[in-house]
Amino acid sequence: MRQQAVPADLRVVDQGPANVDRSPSSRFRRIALVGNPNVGKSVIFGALTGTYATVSNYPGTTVEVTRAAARVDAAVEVIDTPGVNSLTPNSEDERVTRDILLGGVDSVVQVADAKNLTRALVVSLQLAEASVPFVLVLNMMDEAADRGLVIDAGALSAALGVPVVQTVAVTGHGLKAVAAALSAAAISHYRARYPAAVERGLLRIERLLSRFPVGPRWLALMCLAGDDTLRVSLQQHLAPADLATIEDAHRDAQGQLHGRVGYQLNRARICAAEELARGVTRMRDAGAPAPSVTSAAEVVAGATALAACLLLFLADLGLLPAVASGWPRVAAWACVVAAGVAAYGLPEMRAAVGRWASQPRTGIAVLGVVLYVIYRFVGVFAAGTAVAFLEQTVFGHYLNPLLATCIDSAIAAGPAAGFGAQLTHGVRDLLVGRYGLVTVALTYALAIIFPIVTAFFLCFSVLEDSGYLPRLAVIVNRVFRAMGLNGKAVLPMVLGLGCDTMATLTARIMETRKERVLVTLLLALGVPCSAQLGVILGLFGALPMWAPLVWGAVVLGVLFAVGFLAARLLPGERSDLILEMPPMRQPQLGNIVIKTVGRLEWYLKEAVPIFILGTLVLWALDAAGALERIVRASEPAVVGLLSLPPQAAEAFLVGFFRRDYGSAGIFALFGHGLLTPVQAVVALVTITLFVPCVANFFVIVKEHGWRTAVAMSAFIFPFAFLVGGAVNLALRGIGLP
Amino acid sequence: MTGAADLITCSVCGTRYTEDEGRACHVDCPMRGCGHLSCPYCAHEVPAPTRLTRWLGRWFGRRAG
Repeated sequence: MRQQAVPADLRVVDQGPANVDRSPSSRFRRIALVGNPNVGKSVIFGALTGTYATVSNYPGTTVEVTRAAARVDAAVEVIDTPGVNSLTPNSEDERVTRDILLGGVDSVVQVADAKNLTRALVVSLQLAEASVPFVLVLNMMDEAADRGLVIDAGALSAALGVPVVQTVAVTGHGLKAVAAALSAAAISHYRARYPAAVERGLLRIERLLSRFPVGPRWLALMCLAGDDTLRVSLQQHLAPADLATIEDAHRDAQGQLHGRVGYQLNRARICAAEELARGVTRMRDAGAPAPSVTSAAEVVAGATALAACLLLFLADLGLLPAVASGWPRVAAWACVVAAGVAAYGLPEMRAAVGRWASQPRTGIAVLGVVLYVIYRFVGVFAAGTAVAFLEQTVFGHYLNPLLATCIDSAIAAGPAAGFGAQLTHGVRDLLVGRYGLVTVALTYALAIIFPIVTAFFLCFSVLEDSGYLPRLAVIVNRVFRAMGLNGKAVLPMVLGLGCDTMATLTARIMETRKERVLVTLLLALGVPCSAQLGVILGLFGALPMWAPLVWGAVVLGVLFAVGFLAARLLPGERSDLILEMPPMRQPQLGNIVIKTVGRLEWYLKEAVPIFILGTLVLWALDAAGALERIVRASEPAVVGLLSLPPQAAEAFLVGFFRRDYGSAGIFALFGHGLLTPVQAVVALVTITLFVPCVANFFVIVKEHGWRTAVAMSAFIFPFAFLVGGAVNLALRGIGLP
Repeated sequence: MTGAADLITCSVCGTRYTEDEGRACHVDCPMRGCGHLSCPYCAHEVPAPTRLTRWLGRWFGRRAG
């Protein structure tokens, strides 16, 4: 997506439709619909305007803005602005909405999701600071009621000093009241309390900004936060001395708040919004509120589970033989399972786990427990027991020999020489030969990867349904801050663990092209997709415990180093991650089964055809004699640098199609005893940092062009082998087997 | 019009969206749709409903009811 910085002009930004008289003497009025993403603004826009809307890109951007004449008065223009979470812009969408408000609107209809009131009130507080008359529409009241939420609209209206209307837009309920309330739109005088350093800065610069058509407090806050997009407009309208005063105030505030003014402003607004929301909402038939402080019993339960996991982990490393088997091991697992059952069944325990999962220190411990349990389930159970049964028993003992026998019988009954014989031998080779569709493609897809990804998708669905993923994003955000990266990079990186291709599209939320390219590079370089991660975890189940630790340290180290270096090369303000934190929920069996089945259906439909295609390419290369030449040509890298057997080149070759396919090839090599643990780790590091899969490559082409996609692949391909070679040297240097 | 029951809740950011909104990413995707829906706010993806998952949904719904 093309983006460019659009300095806001404080006088006229948005020209509106050409056929409306906007002379000072006319009655032309402008109403903006503002709100968080997906709160029903478009439905309310339709209700206020009818169907004749003009959709156009906002000048200089690719962001679409819809506008139309109001149904009740053609001289009133209604503008449907892009969804925002803050009016201090962090994205192009938010900048466009901010600029429309700066351009001057007569009033605002703020549409809120009633069940996410705090998120909406953060925007309300900024509209109050902007001194814009507004009406607050609490939409989706039916869903709020379904959750037992009761909102005192009268109390909210009294607190804010603006009309508050309750609607269910999709059914039309309350929409007439919205139209009626427009004439009563009012300026809210509700104020968030900011840190003393900010309030001192506001006192210094607010008066300098009083000549502008919007509230000087709002503009002053943006200046203190260091919003560069305002710079051009301010330079046009203020004297150099005033600009210097604003710059001084910004510098002072940044100095006193350790460079985190934007974060402190967001925090203060969220606190104020939470306080306001608490005062006007209650739960219908609410029992005792969930405790916000961890009780001693919860601490004991959590610490016991953590200690049990640690003991099991040390036993797996071979450092604690006493817990490696027998009743101590059973007791340790009983503690982990009991903690899981308590977290599932007891709301207080669930809430405590939710709090721990998003705190810096305890969050890492919770992540460790989660990863360990997934590793045991996917790596040891699924990859060990289930794969052994499917690969060795079902495919190895029954299916493949049966098919080979049938085909051999057909060959024996067919012509003994000539073209017919060649054809039947070719078909046999294609189906059950060394690179046969059954012996390779279907065996890899169904016997190796399918059971592993089934277990992994089950775990992922449980995490998804429990509300853990947003907490994981918060923890990752802290790591990213340490790297100096933009907080918005968190979502694509976490989503990349599902599918890198989709996550590459998500990189659009980054503000600059450089940031988008950097996030895309990190995704393509070192974030394994769910299927590949499942296979890698599966192989770890058969490797010593140091193997996953080395792999994790190398992959995270590479990501950290590349991210750290890139953040130094790409200086700029860091933006904050704003994410609604849902409560920890009891995972529902139905949801877990449906999501897992849905993902498995997708896997079978998308991955298996690509496995078949990859195997066909291998078969064709082999038949043409080219495969041997490729393997020989890759020997300096595969055998020389990585110390792997020549057959590993075939795994890397199919890794071009899908990285999980390449990982499955390494899994099969290890299963056949062709790799030592060190070789397996070296191969896994290399295939994890390997070039993006076909789908991801084409998405990178679509997003950034051929040159960037090819340049990325040209960097990643040798880099993956160099890192693999370094790991090989290091592991052999310390004498690991 | 879409009822509340047809809305999908994103498990990362909590946004509620319709199936059509979730398919909006397919327009930009060079793969022209991968059988997933993508949250319009944070892009977290979930498998799009299929005949099998709809049937499972009804089955679990009946059990829960």
